Amino acid sequence: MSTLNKKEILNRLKEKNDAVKLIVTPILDRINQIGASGVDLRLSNQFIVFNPEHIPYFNIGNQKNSASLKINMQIRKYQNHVIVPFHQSFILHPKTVVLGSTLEYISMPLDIEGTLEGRSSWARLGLIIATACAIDPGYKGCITLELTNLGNIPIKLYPGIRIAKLILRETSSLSENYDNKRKYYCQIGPEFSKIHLDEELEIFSSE
Amino acid sequence: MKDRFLKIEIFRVLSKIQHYIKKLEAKEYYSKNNIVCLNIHKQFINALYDNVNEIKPKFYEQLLRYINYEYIQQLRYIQRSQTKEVPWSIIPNFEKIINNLLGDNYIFILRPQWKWNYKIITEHPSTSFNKIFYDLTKCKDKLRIEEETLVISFPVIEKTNFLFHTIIGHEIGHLFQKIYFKKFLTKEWEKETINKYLLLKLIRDEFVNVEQIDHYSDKLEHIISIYKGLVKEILPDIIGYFLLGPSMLFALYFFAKWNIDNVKPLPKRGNHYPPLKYRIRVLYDLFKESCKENQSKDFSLPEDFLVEIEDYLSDDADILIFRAFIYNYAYQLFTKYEYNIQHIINFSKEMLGDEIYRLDYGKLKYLINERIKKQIPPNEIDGNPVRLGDIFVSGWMYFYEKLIKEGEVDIERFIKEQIILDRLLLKASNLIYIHSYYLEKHVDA
Repeated sequence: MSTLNKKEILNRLKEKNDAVKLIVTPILDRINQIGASGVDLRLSNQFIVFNPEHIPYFNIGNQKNSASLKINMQIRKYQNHVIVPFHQSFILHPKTVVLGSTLEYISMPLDIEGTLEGRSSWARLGLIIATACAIDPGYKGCITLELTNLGNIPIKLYPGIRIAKLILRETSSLSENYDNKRKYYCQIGPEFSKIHLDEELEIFSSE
Repeated sequence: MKDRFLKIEIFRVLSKIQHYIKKLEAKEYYSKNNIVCLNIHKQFINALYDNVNEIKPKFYEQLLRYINYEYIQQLRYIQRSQTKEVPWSIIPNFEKIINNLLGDNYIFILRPQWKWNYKIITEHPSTSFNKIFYDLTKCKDKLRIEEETLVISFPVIEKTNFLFHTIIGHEIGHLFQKIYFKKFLTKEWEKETINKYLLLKLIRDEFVNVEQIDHYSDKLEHIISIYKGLVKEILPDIIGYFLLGPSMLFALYFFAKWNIDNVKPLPKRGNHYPPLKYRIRVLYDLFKESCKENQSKDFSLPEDFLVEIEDYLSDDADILIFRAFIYNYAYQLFTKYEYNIQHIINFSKEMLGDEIYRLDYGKLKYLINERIKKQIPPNEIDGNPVRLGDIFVSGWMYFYEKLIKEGEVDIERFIKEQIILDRLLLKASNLIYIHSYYLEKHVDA
């Protein structure tokens, strides 16, 4: 499994065969955004921030249990969707997690898996951009970022800035087509966790 | 005693409003226009508050009634236009169109309304604020608001239904319809049309005795109002068509499906609405014309849609109604007289200039086949952002192709796919704005 270099990335972007074509749209600055071993992605203007006062804890468990249903309803209240107009900023305070998203919409080839990494310039300020950063072959949509400020001072983030790096690696063969039965599909902004849809939960969470 | 009470009441109400405006200023809006609009309200209310002593007591009651029953409800437009309540990604694109066409003095606000309707409110506050303030205080220089606000409403449940927002193009058209009325359809024109054209026709066609002509004045006014009703809706349709291409045709045809009474002019609140079928007919003719003009001879609507719309228009009940009774005179005015449909088309083209949408089949084919069908937003071609019209037209074409071709649909799957389509189109709309902005700035830098 080798990492795609700049030339290979450019070839994948030009590819005619849908199964192996990579789409990253839009790439505002082709020269600076496509690096030696990845594509820089920008921050979108949509965020989900959390209002913990509405929820005592997460219980992802048994959906048939009325108490957990109540909590799942509270999860809606827990999320506050924030949309920041371009040219304005979003302030990420220390020790907080918010969900953000890439500006770019991605369509992954069926023989490439991706990982998202923070740019070192941001990491040096204490900004972590993603922890669950694997992107499956065939995935389509914007990528949700889990933005965390580990530093001690607030960070001002401007939608449109380059925030993450998409690293691409070839898989040994073509994967099956990724379809809309998946939990996260054709996202155009950050999406909250859908972990409650995991089928195995019923087995493990019945008390 | 009464005057003192009323004066105190005016101060109390005004200070309450000042407080409420401050609360609204702290909310989140996607456009800076909302803050500009709040500033207009603030200027007006502050000016009144600071000059209550200049107002003669005989106006106190009137002022209170105006504030409580007319003024205050205008603030709801801003309150409801907070980011979460509106399809925010389309706002900058429409703002850009309005400012390019009418200048920066126009402040556009998009707000949801519960009644299923798209609507524009243009008689919004600046002009009346200046006048009311002057009438009450006679202070000339203490208030001068220059910006004009226009509020466009959309049905609340259609917030994310990108395709329906095509109708915003029609609503923008009403601004030009007002210009047209002011420029051409004046009181003098009305007199002249009645005297030189309609009267003669009446005498000739219906054997009206010249001495009895006074009895026909109501009928003549009625004809004028039906004609104006035609212009009032069809001119905005044409503007919408030139701004957003055949998506205006697609949208009206879609609405005609659940509008049963779409062949007769509908009298509504003193206006005569032209039949929806006739409006679709006008747009379809325009579509055929623009295919020729733009050398898009190879451009075609989805084949099944073409068959369907031609079949729909082959029944000319709308035209037959226009040829009968009193409607016939209005129809003649609209099709043959000086300010006829061709005049309206030429006027619209002149007004829109470079903002006119040009059909490019190759481009649309790419957006449909290589983007939407593959669940990618139709936002760019070869690194260049497309126009808002391209997103609307490609979205509608895909929608009709899918809807008509598939015949019996699996509802659950259809709704799921519809959600994805809306997402792709909304995302594309968000991206073209920032992409164009970036390219503009990048070249400048």
